Amino acid sequence: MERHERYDPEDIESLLSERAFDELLPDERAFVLRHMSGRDEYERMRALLHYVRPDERERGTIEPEDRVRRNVMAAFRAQQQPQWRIWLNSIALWLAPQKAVASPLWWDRLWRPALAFGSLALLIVAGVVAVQQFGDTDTPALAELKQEEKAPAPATAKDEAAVPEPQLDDAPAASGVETERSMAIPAQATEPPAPVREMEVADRYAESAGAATVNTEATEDFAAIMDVALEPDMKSQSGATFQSITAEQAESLYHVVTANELSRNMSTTNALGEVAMKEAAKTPSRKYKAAQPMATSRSMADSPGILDLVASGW
Amino acid sequence: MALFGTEYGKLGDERLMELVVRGDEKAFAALYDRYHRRLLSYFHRMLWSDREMAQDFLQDLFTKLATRPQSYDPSRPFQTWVFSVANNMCKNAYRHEVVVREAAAHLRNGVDREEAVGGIGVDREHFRDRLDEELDKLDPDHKATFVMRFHEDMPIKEIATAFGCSEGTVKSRIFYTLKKLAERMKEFAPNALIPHGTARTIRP
Repeated sequence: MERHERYDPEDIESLLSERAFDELLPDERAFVLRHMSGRDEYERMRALLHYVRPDERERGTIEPEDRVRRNVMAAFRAQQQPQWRIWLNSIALWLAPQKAVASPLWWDRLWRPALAFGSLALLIVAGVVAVQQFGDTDTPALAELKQEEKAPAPATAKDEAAVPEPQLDDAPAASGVETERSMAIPAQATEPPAPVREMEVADRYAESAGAATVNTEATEDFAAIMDVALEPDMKSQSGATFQSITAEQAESLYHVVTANELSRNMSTTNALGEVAMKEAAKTPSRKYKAAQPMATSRSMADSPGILDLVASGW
Repeated sequence: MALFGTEYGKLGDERLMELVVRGDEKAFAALYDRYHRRLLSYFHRMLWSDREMAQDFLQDLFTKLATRPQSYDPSRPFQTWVFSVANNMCKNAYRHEVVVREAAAHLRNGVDREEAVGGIGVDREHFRDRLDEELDKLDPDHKATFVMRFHEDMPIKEIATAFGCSEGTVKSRIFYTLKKLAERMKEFAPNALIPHGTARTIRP
């Protein structure tokens, strides 16, 4: 049977290894002669290939030193263990070096750990003393009572909203003056007045806005004035349904009136113009002169003659 | 799997590398014990028969393996991968020391040599020295291919994988390297033919 093999020049290694030139088949010999000059070159290459292949006993005769294995395994262990362990190991090595431990003399074994721990203790003591002596004394203690702020920021709408609203339904009934100052009107005439304490709200508002700027006298006057002003309205609207006034509504209805505001007050409660007159007497200025006709008109309304004339005309 | 632990000697290279990635020290030691001789021999051949340098390279290779085991591609055979890493290390060494080695080779050529006797009785030590000398003059890829093929006895396919080239390229390199060496080492030309039966069967 005729062999039909196709050789590539790369496959010549197998021919070199297995067959001498004389043993080649005609096709193989033709193939070899296409890539080589002749028999001599083929035999040279074959001999070289024979010698370059080492025997089994020659292979691996070179042995690395033991240090290579130790270093490699140490690198693997160092890679596997966490970093903090390396850090601790270094600390331990610093405190108790291997050479010192191996020494038979007790002093050689102990002087370095003793020095290290002594130094550490000394550093800690020095640190504590330094902190006590030169530490920040302004730092408040844990249970130190802080002083209240003397000049709070002016109250804003946000702060006002932060004023705790009284529990209208569950709040206890107001007593004494608080009841008189109450602006809440019961929804039913037969029902007891709702315990809404708007004045408390006003007081809290005033406290939150700053006690220093609140004129307590003006507050009391305001309460009295409001009582007088509301009384006829309450009479005229007897039986009408009044809803309880919430804190926000109360804030929109009134505010704490200062002396200057009272002096310019144009309401009926200032019909006598007493405050304005007093202010005008204190400071006779252009401003007062401009406001004087208005005050005069109020005083005219107070005269009985004019009042009678107006009543008859009415 | 043994009853009281893993028999690392029976595990394949790739399985051992999986364990190494997980931090198994014994698996790493088993890989070292399995490959350190071959790799040292390879480095020794490739690095101008410098034993100290070969040991350093062996240590560097396994240190890389220890510090970055994830760099191993599990889809490749470990042997192929580790020899490709070793080959790259040798290439880097060639770039650095080619000038020095050329000068050393030039100096060695001036030394008188005892004429070798061809044929079976050739002095193997002398032959190895001459072969190393001629291998050093070759292109690094050709030299590495030659060493992997004839000293490490690696299959053509694995060499091709290690180099990232085709098997035909590897065979071609081997053929032309043999041809070139046979031309340069004529003093070892056999006066007598290699007796029949001494040639060994080679792995494909």
